[in-house]
Amino acid sequence: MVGTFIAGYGAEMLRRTLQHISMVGVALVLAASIGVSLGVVISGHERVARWVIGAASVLFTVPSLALFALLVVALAPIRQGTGRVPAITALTLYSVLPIVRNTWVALRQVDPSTVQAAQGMGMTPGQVMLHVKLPLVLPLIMAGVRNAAVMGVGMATIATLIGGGGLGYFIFEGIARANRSMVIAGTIAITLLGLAVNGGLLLAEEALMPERRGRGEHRR
Amino acid sequence: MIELDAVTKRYGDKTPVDHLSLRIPDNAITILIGPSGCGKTTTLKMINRLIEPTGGDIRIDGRSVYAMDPIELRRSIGYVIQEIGLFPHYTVEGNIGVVPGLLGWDRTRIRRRAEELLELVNLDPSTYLRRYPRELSGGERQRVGVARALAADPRVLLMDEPFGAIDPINRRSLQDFFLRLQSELKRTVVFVTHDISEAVKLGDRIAIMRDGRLVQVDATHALLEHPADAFVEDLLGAARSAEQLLLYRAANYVDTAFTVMTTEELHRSGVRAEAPLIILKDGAVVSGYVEKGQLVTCEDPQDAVCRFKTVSGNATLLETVATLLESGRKRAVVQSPDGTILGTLSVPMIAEIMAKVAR
Amino acid sequence: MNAFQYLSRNWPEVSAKIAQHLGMVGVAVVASLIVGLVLGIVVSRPRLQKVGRAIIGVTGIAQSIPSVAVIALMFVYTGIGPRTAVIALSIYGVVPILFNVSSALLLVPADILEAARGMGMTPLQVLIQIELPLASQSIMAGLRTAVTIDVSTATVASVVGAGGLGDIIFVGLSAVRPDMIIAGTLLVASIAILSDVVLAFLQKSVVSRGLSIPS
Repeated sequence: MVGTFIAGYGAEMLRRTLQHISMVGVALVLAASIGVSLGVVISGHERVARWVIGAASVLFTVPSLALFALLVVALAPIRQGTGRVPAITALTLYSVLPIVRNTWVALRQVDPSTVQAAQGMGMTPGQVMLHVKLPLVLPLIMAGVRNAAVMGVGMATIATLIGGGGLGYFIFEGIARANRSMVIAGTIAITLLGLAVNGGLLLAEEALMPERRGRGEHRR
Repeated sequence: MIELDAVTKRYGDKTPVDHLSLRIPDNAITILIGPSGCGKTTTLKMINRLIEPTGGDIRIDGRSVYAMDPIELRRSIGYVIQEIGLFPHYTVEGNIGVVPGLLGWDRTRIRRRAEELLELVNLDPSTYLRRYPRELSGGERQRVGVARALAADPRVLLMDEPFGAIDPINRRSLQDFFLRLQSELKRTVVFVTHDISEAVKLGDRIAIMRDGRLVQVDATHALLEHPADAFVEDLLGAARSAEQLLLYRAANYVDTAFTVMTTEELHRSGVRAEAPLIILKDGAVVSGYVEKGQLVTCEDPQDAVCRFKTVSGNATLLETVATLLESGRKRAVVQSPDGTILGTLSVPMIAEIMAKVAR
Repeated sequence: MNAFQYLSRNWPEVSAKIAQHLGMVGVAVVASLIVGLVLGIVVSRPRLQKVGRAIIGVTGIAQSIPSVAVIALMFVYTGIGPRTAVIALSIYGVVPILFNVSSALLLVPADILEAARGMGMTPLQVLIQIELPLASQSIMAGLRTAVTIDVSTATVASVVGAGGLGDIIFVGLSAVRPDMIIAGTLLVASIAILSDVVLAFLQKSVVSRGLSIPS
């Protein structure tokens, strides 16, 4: 049953999978840029940091459907109320928290003596951040990105409700049409996608890790 | 007294403890020592039944530990491990109060006991009662661990390398602290260590194990003088060197041939004894001695000639030698902290001990 | 009409939806907590440790399944209505709780457990006085996660006829009524934030001061 469904809708599923991936991908890139930059900026300032992380946490707590819907309303005046724009915006906003939090926590945990050694060698604070701190905390940041990615795949399921496309289509349409195979096919697809994203990013993390074993050297 | 009677532990084809028979006397520290894997920790844990033996019996004061409920047994024995295992979510008072709590003591009694114990281990109760383990230094944690083990006033203390995780400097002071404690409390202590210097420093008796069997067990100084075989010699190794020996406790090496008389008795009966005669004046104050028929007395206790040196039983032989040389006295009288006279030592005596024991 | 006007005019229906929403989440969370705690304890016992680690691995993977999918799958078997949502939420909520409970219990330092046993605590006493308190921080965190996910997922559950605040948002979206959308999202966001704050407060008061609490 599910098998025949997939056979019949194969092309459609592939198309929507690509939609799904691109939504999450764009959001992730945006969130990572914002998140890491924010994390770097607040890493020196304890009080500001707590505010920023607090705000991001609150955003994170808001139910995804609510955020999607709010963006629909907010972006309607500029004619971007439906489609990929509100979807990607919402996903980005959600993904910022895990990334910024991991970046900030990781930077705080950098061994001060390593930083002092770098400063002693004559590096500016900017160089210290770029060549010493960030490379050291990369694994933790990657973990945050991976976390956000997996969540994003799940959340993007809802994007279909506001016209964003993606694999959620099969789930909601399946429910509306009482078509079990559709629902199951959609669920399997999303789950597999989530697992694949998790696994793929894990491999990427590990590919980067062995380099980290030779610590104390600048990243090329 | 704790009796281990042919105690055996087998796991599959491994026998960590093989028909071990050992008597552990009351009110003294018995050390279990041996190379890694010799079964000393396993043996210790069989006493409070954290590990159940496959054969043999263990009796405390004649009662087999198998006749008792293991939970009750453990609540009556103090147990200190290397990492201490202080409960991080309880305050110091909470930690100390665990076994009393299990035994049903009320909170006031527990608090008073905790205060008492903290003072015993030299930690100010008003500061430390409310602290959490994460706020304590390593040495402080260790002392709280010992206090916790003593909370329900057990007669037996089982200790498994309790000072192993501490740095050498603090370890020394912890060992000294423990010796002072033991001289006050006089518990029956079974102490596992792999450090021979610690064993010789702390132990009244040492039991050497290897491959699950007992190789030699004897009083510390006897062991040092008469190792049973090359393995024991090897294990004692550095402990038998002259330098090491100087660190050991005066109390363990005293010459116990002496007589005690008060000054009144002396005036009445005159000098007769040949062995060193220790003269008491005003109760416990030692005010003169007799050696080989020659009496050195004085009426004036301030006279430096006759006052000779008293030394604490817990002082090291090194300290004893230093004291004697400094004061120019020929003999030191060794006293335990509560005033009991244990015996005498002289520099020639110490040199002889060193010669006998050193390789 | 703006959101507040909508709310004031339709308060009876809206409050009913709020009650439905809270009810779904409440029942599901309690069920997840009970199942998650019991399973987590069972699975972390010494003799079952290998099973325990396997289950932690599985729950780790299960976290990759989006919550919506669980609702959809449940719909396949039990059709529409709040019951579907509650069952799905209960099952889904077990995942973060079980994961946190079991990993935290497995992380209790062995020396502490040994000291506790050696002092004469029964296994039950060790569990209640030592293991659970030491794991409490993680357990509370798992609970918070479960609640947050449940509030969020319950919103989407309206597509399977479960009721709740999602209804307001969905109607607002299809009828293009910004006032309803805003009203619905504000309400649901407030509930989410409020419950998280309450739970955070609870977490602080439950966890002993002796355990350092990361911010």
